[in-house]
Amino acid sequence: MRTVIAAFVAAGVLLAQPGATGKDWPHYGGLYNAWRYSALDQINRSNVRSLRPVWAFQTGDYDGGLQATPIVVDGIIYLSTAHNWVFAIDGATGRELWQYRYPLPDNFNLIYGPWNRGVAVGFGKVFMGTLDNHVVAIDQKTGREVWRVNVEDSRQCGCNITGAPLLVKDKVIVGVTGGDSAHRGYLNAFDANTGRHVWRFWTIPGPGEPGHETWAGDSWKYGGGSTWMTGSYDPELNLVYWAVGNPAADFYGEDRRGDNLYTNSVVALDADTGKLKWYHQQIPHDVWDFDTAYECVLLDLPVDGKMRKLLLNVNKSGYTFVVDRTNGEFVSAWPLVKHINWVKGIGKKGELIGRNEPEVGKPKFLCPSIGGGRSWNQGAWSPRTGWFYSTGLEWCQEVTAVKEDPVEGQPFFGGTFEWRHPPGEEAHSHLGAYDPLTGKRFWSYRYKYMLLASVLATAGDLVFTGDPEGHFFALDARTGEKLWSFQTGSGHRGSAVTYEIGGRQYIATPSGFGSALAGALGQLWPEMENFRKGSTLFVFALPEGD
Amino acid sequence: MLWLLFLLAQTSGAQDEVAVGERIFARSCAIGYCHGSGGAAGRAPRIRGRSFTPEYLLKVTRDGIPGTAMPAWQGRLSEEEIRAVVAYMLSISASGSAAPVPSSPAAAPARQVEMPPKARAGRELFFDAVRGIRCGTCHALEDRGLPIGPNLAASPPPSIDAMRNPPLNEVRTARLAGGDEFPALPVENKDGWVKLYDLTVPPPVLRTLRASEVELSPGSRWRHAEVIASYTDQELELILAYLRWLAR
Repeated sequence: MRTVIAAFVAAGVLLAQPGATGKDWPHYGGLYNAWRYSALDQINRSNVRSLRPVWAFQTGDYDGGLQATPIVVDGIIYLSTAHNWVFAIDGATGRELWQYRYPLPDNFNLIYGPWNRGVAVGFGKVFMGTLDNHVVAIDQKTGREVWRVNVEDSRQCGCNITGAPLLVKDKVIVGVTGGDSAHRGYLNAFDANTGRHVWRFWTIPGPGEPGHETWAGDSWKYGGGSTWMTGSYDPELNLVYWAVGNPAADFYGEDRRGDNLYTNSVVALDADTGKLKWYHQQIPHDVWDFDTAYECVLLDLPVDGKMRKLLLNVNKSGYTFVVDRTNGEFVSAWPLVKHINWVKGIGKKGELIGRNEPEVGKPKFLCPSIGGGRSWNQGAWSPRTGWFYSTGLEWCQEVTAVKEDPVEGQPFFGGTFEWRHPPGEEAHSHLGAYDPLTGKRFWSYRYKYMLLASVLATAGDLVFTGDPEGHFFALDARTGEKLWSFQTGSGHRGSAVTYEIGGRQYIATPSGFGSALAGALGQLWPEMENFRKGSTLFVFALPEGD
Repeated sequence: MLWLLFLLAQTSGAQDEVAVGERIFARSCAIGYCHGSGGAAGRAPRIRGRSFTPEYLLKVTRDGIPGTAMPAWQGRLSEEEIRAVVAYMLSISASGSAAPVPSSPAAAPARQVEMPPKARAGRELFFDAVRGIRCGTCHALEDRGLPIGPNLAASPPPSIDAMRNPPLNEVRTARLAGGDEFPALPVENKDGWVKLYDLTVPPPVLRTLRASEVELSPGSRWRHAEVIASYTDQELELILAYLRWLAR
């Protein structure tokens, strides 16, 4: 793969990094480093205007939207839908090879769903977490179930799995939702072949463990700390990186005084044992529901003239944090959005300056909204430009904290919120190109609603994403100029990928609007309440012969 | 004058009901993933400004909508609370009126006999989330837990010793063609495929194997005592009290 990249451009330090996908899209974030960047460049700035649809695949499972990242292995696409259906699809023709429908119970009745963000593929199997908190392995060739294991009774824990698993060596690593419920979070590893449990990392330390003292009283038992998105892996360091979500109750923190480790932290775990190697907490004692939950982008970049192994993580709060991924040392933090008032700033050591906290019984105007300065949809990093591409959301809310006692497995927010337009302007969003260390912005594409789909970057110097109105579009990675757009018929809430079969490059994007956040946008824009649902995979390529 | 006083009393009663309903709505329905603050929409549909009949709201609030995130509130809220929350939703609906909520067609839930303290403590231990693995990992009771092992309320074990060492007639040893050998609880053998629970480490894994590739033989090295080793004698006594109370 390195030679593929080097063939296209002059060799540089950044380009020497083996982080680009090639013919396949094997993991949730592309490769283990979560760049969402492909070395394929058949489709590029000069010809993207000729891009056209070659086939579409309608899953039929439209409630909840199509939020997945398709996984592509040897020309076959593995796609999961909101209600845990999985399809194997011929990547060139769109022909269905098999389908699997997980037998969901009627009464899963959970607030986290229905939606699913993807599968992991390996060991001849396709792995998925389910709405009722199971992990299931499906035969990659036939679609027949191989094993199934329940992580914890979802009726009791009020938690389940909506994120894509991460396959590391022979282990399927799976997170859990439940950060806004009275639940104690964890991360689990299962043996890929047998489904047997291998290790569990509790995101909230138990009695006698370091960090337990950061929770007042019994608050640790129901303190949230979910692991609802997908982590990354550094094979050289043998470390799994995972971002841990907010503490519960979200807005009311009096009963959980302390820093509340390891919520709002990136944790680095030994891949074989699940033992904690280091952590970096971004927001001690979070009372804003500003999860550290999103992707951990692994980058090797020079810092003050010295190459360092780094980890970039966009926090829901609108700040992006960069740490040293060998030891968790803070490197920098920078704002992704303009409207931030929950803190005055972040200091040189990563400390929060001037906390502006919700108050009990009194509405407080806070920015960004709990929908995030960005949602969970991932950014992308291109070694060709050296820039990090990410959406950003400009919006605020009125939050009122309420004292609340935990009831196991029940929602545990400790307050309410209503979304508001930011001061002096309409709420809106943007897709920008940023220096990953300083946040310096090189260009920005503005959009009138919220951009809620992941970004795909390619060696064709293109960045792709989609909007809630149904447009899937390509921007020039160097200038932000819109070069191409296609109306897919329903909004975008998933993650586009690219792959190659028989010398032809394809771009695949889920289309299908839905999710907790999407459903609530009617609070700001009444017309969005009627935005159409859908669940279709659209695939594009250049006309053959070009 | 009397009728006027009566009318006033009725009106203020309805207003009280709406105020109570508003508080319940804020706590239970307005949360981020659901109907939004004041019913202004969330992941779940907007309530504010839309048209609903009282009967529809009552039914959905009581019974939920199966297969969706909308739970049944009957049992979680009292009938009075359900009626109050419906009154509040009507007050913010398109008509804006606090139309009278029809009286309950649903039978009042049977009065529950309160669980004695020992049994209650046993119930907490049975489902103790602090232990990764607890009784509920393999046994279902009261709509919780997984029905992999026997229904313990149907015939509670006679003693703590029996809890540790129950009869294991159904547990087998599975030998796979590849050489792997593990304790297994068979579930199904159909059309050339075997479904069984792999009991090697909890939680049990439901595996589907080609019948020709697995050989099942009686007995196994699996011991229930090892799985429940985290429970002390005193704790098992309490759990037993819970099981006996359920079976009473």
